Amino acid sequence: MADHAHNDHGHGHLKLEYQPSLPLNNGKLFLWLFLSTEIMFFAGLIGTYIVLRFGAPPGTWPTPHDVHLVETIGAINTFVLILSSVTIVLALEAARHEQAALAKGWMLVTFLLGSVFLGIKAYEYKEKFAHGIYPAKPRSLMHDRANIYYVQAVRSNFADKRAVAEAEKAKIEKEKQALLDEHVVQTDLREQSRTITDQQLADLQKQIAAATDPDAKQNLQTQLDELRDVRQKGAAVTDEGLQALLDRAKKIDDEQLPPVLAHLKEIVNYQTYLVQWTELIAAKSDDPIVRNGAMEKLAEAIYPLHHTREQQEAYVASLDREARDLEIQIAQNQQQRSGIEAERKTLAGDLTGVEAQIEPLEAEKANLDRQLKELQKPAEVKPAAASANVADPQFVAVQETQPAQPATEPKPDSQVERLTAEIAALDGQIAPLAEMRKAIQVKIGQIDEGLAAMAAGVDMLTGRMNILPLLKEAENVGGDHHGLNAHDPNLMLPMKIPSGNMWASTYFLLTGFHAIHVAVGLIVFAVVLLYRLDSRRANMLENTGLYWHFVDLVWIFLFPLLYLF
Amino acid sequence: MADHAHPIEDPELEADIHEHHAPGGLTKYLAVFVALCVLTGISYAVGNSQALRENSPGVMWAMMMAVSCLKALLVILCFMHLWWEANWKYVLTIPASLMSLFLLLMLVPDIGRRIEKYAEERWFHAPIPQIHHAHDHAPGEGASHDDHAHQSASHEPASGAPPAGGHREPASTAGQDR
Repeated sequence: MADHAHNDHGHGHLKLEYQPSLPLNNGKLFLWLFLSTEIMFFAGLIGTYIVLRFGAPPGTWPTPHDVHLVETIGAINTFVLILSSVTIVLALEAARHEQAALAKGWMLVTFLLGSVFLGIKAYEYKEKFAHGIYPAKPRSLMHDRANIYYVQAVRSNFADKRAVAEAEKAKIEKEKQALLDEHVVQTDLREQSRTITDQQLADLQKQIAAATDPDAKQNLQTQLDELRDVRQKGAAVTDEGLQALLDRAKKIDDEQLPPVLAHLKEIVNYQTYLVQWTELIAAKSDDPIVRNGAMEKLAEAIYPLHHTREQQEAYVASLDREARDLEIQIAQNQQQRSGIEAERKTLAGDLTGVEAQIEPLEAEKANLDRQLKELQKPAEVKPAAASANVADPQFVAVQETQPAQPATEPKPDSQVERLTAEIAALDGQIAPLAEMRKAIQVKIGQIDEGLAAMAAGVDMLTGRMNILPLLKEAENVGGDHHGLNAHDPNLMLPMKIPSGNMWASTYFLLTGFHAIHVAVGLIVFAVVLLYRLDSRRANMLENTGLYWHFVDLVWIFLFPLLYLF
Repeated sequence: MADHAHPIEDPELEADIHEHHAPGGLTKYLAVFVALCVLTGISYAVGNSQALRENSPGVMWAMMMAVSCLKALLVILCFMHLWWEANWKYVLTIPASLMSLFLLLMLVPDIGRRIEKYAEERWFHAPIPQIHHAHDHAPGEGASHDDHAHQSASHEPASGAPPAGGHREPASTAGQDR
């Protein structure tokens, strides 16, 4: 432009040579500017990951296997991206040499390789989600420490599962009840229909014919229809039909209910001997070391971070030690119990002795009471005081301490007085014995309570001991996956993965942004593929390639950092 | 486009491009591809070397980063043609790289070395490493005593003030890395 302007004016000025622009086209210039910002962007992300990872409390960053990351898959993805980088360069070369069809072919291959990368990435994400590894709560099942919050999370997890299982059980039982109810209804219907005779119907028919009042006629007609309906329905009820209902109910009992009940039992088993056991220790022990140890053990049973066979074997050995410990405790408990039971037996013997003493005395007293009652019968018309005497032998004794009353009686009956005195004497004998009896009974009651508690304790110990083999089996020594979560994928219990949430945040951020770049690349490829890729499109192809190589470049750093570090 | 606006410059630029790219071709790209695959294999092998991981993880990380940088250079210089570009390439890449490095370094004091400044209370909620029975199990020891020893290790980081600097390498991390 500048040159032309000067020539046109013809001023003959000193000719200036301007550098019109950088020695590259605008598209490439802007793409490189964009890439330099991208370098900064990913440097920020990767740098943050590095400082977070190496700044984490020592030994807490999860290893790739702890979070279900497979190096081989990462390596395959690296290979796929490198290959796609080559194919896009080959596409550019082909376009420069005017081989449009070849260029398009290479672009198509590049597009497919990018799609493969995204597919593998999607699979990896799915694997994470399936194991409860999410970047954040509430879905994330990862905990930094095995503390009370962790135990609480495990407990509420089991509580939810139990509620679901109970609901399932209730639903099945309702279904079964509906079948049984239907059976009763149909049986009734059949019985009813059998009582309706032809004669009855014929009579009704006649009554209808004879009826003059339209309302009455209508009523009778309804009655007749109802009877006919019942008869018809009752006739339709067959033995086979009834039997089929019973069979279906039985089938529910036999086939549908047992697995649900077994599942429920399993959950309750875990709830009691895994979670409650831990909670009891965590709540009752005075020793913080024991408390933490119990919670750590729960976490280890659910999701052990064992990396070597020695660690697995050491864990199994610790389970064996616990089993031995429990066995000793159970034996001690039983020994103690037999001691206490012997004591209880002695007390029971004492009780029988005391009762043997009391019984004849009480019989005698009852006899005297009866006599007294007989004597006082005629006096029943007298004021209420006398009748109160008879009502309760206890009262008689009390009355005795108030000599004023018999004195007021108009004609004191000497026999009544004698009997009352005798009864009072007996009461005096019975009272200390009754007290003794009561004391023994209280003592026995206390012992029984203690025994029940001990029996419950033994149940707990036995239950815990019985769950240990399951934990051992779940540990799967020498196998690939360990812990209850791996043993039963349906459990999906909260896991202790130190720094796991931090790891997940950085992992999903890094790979997510990278995946977005891959997706954008695929969109660009799709657009490029619409054109005829000859040398006129070489610039467009080159810029696309630059962007794609950058995406490859980021992955070159992400692969070792995420999968191998 | 510059090409159309300045037809005078065109032949020069075109000649430039042809001169730089003509010797490239298939063999060069394939060689780079093979090199990249081999380098990936090296970092995969290094990352999976149990001996290296246990004895000198620092060396392992350094090797993997070196390999990554080498791969990045190969891709940038060859696939992205930066090797054949004019000097403008330095204007764009060097400042961006320096700023990236600066960014990373600036993260170190507050984030990278954060646990050195953790308050005592902060340690009660900080993640603690998994403790393995292998460290405390001595055959013949009584069960209860053994358990005690095991759990005291797990309790240690939680139980209070991190000794200055001492927390960077607790004894229990020795067998941590796989």
